[in-house]
Amino acid sequence: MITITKRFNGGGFCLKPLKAITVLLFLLLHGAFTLLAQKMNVSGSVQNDRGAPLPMVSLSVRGTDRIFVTDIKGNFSISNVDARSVFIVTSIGYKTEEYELNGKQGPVLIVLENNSEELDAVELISTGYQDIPKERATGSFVKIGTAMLNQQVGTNILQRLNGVTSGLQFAIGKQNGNPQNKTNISIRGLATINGPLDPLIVLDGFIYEGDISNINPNDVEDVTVLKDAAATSIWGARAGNGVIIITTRKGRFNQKLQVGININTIINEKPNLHYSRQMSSSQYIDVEQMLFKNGYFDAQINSSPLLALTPAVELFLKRRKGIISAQDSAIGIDAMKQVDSRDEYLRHFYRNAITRQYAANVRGGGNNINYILSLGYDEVTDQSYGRSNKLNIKMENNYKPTKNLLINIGVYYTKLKTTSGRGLTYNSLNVNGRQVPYLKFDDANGKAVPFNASLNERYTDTAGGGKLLNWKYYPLDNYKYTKGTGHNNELFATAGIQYKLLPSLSLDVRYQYQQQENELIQLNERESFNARGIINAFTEINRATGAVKYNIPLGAIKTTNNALVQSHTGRAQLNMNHERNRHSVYAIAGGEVRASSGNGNGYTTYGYNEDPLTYANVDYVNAYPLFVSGAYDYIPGAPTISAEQTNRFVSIYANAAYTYDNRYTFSASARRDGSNIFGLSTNDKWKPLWSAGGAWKISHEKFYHFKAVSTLSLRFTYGRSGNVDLGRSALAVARYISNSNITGLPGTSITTLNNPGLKWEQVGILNIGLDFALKGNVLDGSLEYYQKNGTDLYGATPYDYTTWGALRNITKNVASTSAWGIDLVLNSRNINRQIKWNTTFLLNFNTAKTTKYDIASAARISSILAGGTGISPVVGKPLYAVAAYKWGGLDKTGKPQGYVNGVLSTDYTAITSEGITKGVDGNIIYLGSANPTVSGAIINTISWKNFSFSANLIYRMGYYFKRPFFAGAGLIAGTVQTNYDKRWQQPGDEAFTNTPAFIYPANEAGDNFYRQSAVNVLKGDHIRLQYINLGYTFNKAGSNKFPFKDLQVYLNAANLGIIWRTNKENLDPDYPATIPPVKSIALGVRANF
Amino acid sequence: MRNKNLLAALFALLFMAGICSCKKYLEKKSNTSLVTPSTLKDLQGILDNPNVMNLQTSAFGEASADDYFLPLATYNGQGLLEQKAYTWQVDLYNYPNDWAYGYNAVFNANFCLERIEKIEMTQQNKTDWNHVKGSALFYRAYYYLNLAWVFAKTYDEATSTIDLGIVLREGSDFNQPSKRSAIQKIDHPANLPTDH
Repeated sequence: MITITKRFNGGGFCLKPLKAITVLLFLLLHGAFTLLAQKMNVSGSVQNDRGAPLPMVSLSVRGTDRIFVTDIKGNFSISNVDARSVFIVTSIGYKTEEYELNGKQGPVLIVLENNSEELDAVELISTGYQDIPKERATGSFVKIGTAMLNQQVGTNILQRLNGVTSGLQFAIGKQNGNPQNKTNISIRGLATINGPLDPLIVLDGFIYEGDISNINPNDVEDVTVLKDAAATSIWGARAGNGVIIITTRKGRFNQKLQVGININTIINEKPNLHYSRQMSSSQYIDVEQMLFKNGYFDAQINSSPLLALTPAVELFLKRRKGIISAQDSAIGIDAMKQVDSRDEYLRHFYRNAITRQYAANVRGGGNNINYILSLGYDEVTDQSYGRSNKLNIKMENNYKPTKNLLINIGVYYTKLKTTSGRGLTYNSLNVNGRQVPYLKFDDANGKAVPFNASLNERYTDTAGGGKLLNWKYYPLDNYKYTKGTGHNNELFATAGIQYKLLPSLSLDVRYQYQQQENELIQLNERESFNARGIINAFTEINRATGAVKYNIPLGAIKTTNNALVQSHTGRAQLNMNHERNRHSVYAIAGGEVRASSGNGNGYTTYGYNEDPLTYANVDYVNAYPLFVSGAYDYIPGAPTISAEQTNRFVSIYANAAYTYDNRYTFSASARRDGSNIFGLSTNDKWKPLWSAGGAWKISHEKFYHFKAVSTLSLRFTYGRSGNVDLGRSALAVARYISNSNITGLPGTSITTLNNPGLKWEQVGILNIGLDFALKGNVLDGSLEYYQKNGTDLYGATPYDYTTWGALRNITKNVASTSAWGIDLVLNSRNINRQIKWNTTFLLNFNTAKTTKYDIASAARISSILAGGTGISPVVGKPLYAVAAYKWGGLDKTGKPQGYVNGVLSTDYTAITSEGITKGVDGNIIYLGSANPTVSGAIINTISWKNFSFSANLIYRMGYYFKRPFFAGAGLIAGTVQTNYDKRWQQPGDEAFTNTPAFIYPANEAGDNFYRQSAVNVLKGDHIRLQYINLGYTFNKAGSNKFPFKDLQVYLNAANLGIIWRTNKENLDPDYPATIPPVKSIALGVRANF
Repeated sequence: MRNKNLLAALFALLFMAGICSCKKYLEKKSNTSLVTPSTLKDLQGILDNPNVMNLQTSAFGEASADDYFLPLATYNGQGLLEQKAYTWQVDLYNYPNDWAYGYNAVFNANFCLERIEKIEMTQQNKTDWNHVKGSALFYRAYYYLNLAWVFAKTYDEATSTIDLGIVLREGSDFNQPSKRSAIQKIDHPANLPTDH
């Protein structure tokens, strides 16, 4: 019953219980019973919070049927009312206010607060299955309302949760092979090692498996994050990582027609390629010269066919062969040394990104129908000149044909088109694996110059004797002939019927359908290097007759890939909302069937011409000789059909909360899920998950007289959720692999050994929460303590390779983790006069560690020497953790030194052995977590008259990161290094540098030791300015001619950089080796009328 | 009272929907390319997977042999592992290694040899049947020999019954523990378990 009706009824109804409680409390605390039940007259006026008078406001006297309405000037006068009357003051667009007369006679002033963008006053929270009053929730929820979501402006709704959501953290710079890891979001840390990391995302009550960027943030009313088991267990086996509930805007019954508009433009700077302090082009070329002289390139120079060399090496070779003079060589090398390819990339392939967002919605409702129609259009040109255009259309109608029946239909449609840009990102071009930091794309006249990535032009220029297509690659304009186009259509539709069986009991039947189609087309025109290259590769030239045979026809090459994802959910649910005297019960019970499936196909068309449409056939069956090697190979691009992936779930669930006297609440929930993912045994398919909890409103107790703290309640829950990897199977499975390019035969590969014991992961969560508010609401907040234990986790476990050998380890439900943490939220109203200043302070502490993991490496601290960016389980340590070798400085020859038996040493094999055998008792020190253990934000909001200002400071602390380091072997292999200037160069340097010498041949073992030594691990603590927001609101108060109800102009600046950090090297700890996100500036207008 | 009956009926309906229909509904294979290998075609496919069956011959014997030499410049340009193999230095050769690769092929062969016994040989499938069994026996013998060359002691007739050889696997059940056999068992092909 509560599920839908409450929302449709608007704010008034649902606010009542809380207000009633507040009033009750007020009366108790202030002893207002002393007032006699005397009659009196009262007059006054109603204003909005900016002082403008509000006409047509209704004032109803509680407990009577008397209603009064303010006049055009916002005035009212009421005669013969009870001296302790309570007026319920309501007006559309404003929060309902309860005004207690308390015997006041003189003109009273009632101020109504604007309702359109309320921050935190909404008492209903959604679990996706039902809306429950926050007062009666035992679990841990965070609700982010429209105003908070609007403080950030991006096109991705999840990104807007960053820095404003308690307990929610974005993983930055982490790489791991975990499945279902698209969002990078973790809620209260991780309770899995190899399982999925994504929280479950729910859109309007149903699991959303589409692309999250398809949801337009302008359509979102609020987002609720479910954190503990009492909140999440209703979502069963997939809720172990927490649940994010997204609720879109709705129309409301009895609401005047409203039109909302939001338009903005966001500009992102070009990436800061100069962030990394890499060695200069001149230094890099000197190294190439040294390598050349030492014969490093000789094998490559003499290869057949001739392999491409970097431009400098090519020039050295010409000089060696005497083709050019020493002077010409010097001039050429000098010119290259002047070039910094970062500038070249920035000049030719990057631009400022521009995002334009347009959104409008119309909503309203009458007695028995309400509606919303919203349109959104986003236009993005990204930093690489790629473009995307996205259209969102949302329609939702609710129809109440009779008092007891409610029919709901909703459709959310997204159409996205993306077009590739110039495509070349920094360092994406390399010569047979060697980077070229002095690459130039054009000559002095601005003409494109060719670049040899794999074959040498001395070969490609002459191969085929002029009978092949031009084999040169021109990076500067190749993008003009290659075009990637993506089309994405998504439909998310819901339909529901709610029938009131009894006043306190209703039946909900709902159905959801989602379909997402993706089409990716890559068109390489004949002029493109991509097309020319593959055509040449498959060209046969008869050396005797000179006849040319093109096994791939001349023309453009078009590759098309399609993917289709569909899901259906059907749900039948009984809702009970029963209140009698001091007892109230909120309960639901239902069943759900869900199926999602996905498939795809792809094919390539050769000899393609768009207009007039022509294309040619190619032979995919027979192998043809490759021009370069003569080996036989198949023409790529034969049609592929990807396997149909089907996931089916059948679930039954129930959830009940009983509240006595608004003081004690008990809740319990249970859910059983069945799925086709697991093997034959039904036991594995069915897994009950449950939760139980209680809440105690201490401040509602009669004995509670502590006036300074007006609200105090305690919550306690425990329960279990599940985490399931949709890609697993317990059967011994083999997979047909496509025809081998060696034998041409279809093969089968055994990918998984039979494991009938495979189960879902379990996450048990204990949550204790304390909610409080100080008198006058100057400060409120919550403090929560939780424990989160993962058991039966998918974990690698070693086995004897002679029994199978296909994988290093096999996976079973063997591992476990344990975590605990604290979430603190404080909202303070520092100043509440003409200037309003509010502060929200978020503090999250989380520490998670592996408690059981079977493989030998999990017992050794040396396993996390290379750690930090991935999950590497070591028992007793956090999932992301760093250890390092003790650093002994450099020796007299510039070699990095470690310790063996406590003595300085450069015997790296001995250092490694001691690390493995002795760990922290030997030459390793454990540093700590590589993920922030303390994080949070401070959000300040200041408003004065029509101005508003907010700023968000995010802090991340208690963790370590690895700085970029110099590696000689890497430099020799052709990777541009940082800190080259700081390297040891002559005896004595070891006194003031920690960067090893550069020697040839490389000291690879030394490099490996240095990479894993403590000198390269720094503390990550920092504070960054996430965004600032400035707004000015024009409203009707000033002028009647003003066509809008309100109009706000806003300016937003985001990613403003680090304002404090512990590391002295000016590194961004979250992006030590990659380019940090760029600053963005947005300007926009929001209006309502 | 009527309402109570209605309620009971609804609950029963939900419950039935949840329990009865699900068993069959949940038998759907989650990925159409997943196969439980059981047919001759599946088994032949396992043996036709060149990445496991054809490309895993250990090269360390050859890399350490004196059939070739590297000029210093080329040697210096090699990776650590290749340099160590060339100069006969000890390396902690962890997974993935040729030892495991070799046994993966052995596993596949054993798997096929086991499964083929469950397939009846008929007049129609006789050629295919023999092909699977013959290839499986060959592959197993080939990898045993190769593993013995690289990982077992050189054959010495006097000590061949006590010198440790390689593990000879009898089947595909990974719960069955492995043990190293004496070198003599490998060097005499007649001693190999061949299912004959």
